[in-house]
Amino acid sequence: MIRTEKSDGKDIFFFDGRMDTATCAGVEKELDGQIEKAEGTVVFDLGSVDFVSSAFLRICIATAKKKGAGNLKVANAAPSIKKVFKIAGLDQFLM
Amino acid sequence: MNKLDVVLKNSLEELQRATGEIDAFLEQIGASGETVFNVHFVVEEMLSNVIKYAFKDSSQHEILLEITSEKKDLRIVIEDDGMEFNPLSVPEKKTDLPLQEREIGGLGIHLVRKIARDMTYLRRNGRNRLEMSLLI
Repeated sequence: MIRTEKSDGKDIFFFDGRMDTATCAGVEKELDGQIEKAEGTVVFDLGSVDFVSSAFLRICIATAKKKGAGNLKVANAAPSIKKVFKIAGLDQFLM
Repeated sequence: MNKLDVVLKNSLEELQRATGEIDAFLEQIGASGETVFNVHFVVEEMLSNVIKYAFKDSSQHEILLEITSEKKDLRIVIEDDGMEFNPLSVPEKKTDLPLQEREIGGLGIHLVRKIARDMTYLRRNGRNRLEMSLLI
């Protein structure tokens, strides 16, 4: 269950642990309706995430395409995770 | 030299199980946090591709994962009996396109190519063999 919070016009989604291929399949289903309902900037908080795979990047790109590039932010990513976003050319999402 | 051999069945649950064995091995060899992340990343990406795409039947298949560390080198080998597929033949991804032109998927192999120091592929006796190396 992804914890969510509204704050300062942002819809924050808190992820946890390993965002690997198997986990992201479930995450994608859980996020499905929630992203549509989000009214403000969507923030993916990765403060408790220690690993992302390309499956998570796919979720980020799909979300940004739905909400607009400037309306998705990724917060509190660990350095190794930031590196993955940068190599993928997705550092525009990083806060 | 330290070596880890894992035999996985072709399911994502098996891949999740293997991460525990990989973690224990990397701890044993004193790998840094960055190396741990990089190893998990390349293994996750390439193994999940095999599991998802290499087999057309619904049978159980075995996938071999071998991780060897020697001095500053870490060598990762993934071997399977799936359909022939050379990940090195996949064209490079353009990562500087505007968002509306970006494809949603397909980043895995691109990222592995950037993270691994080198990669080689071989098709032999009906098996794919992918070797990747990383610096510890």
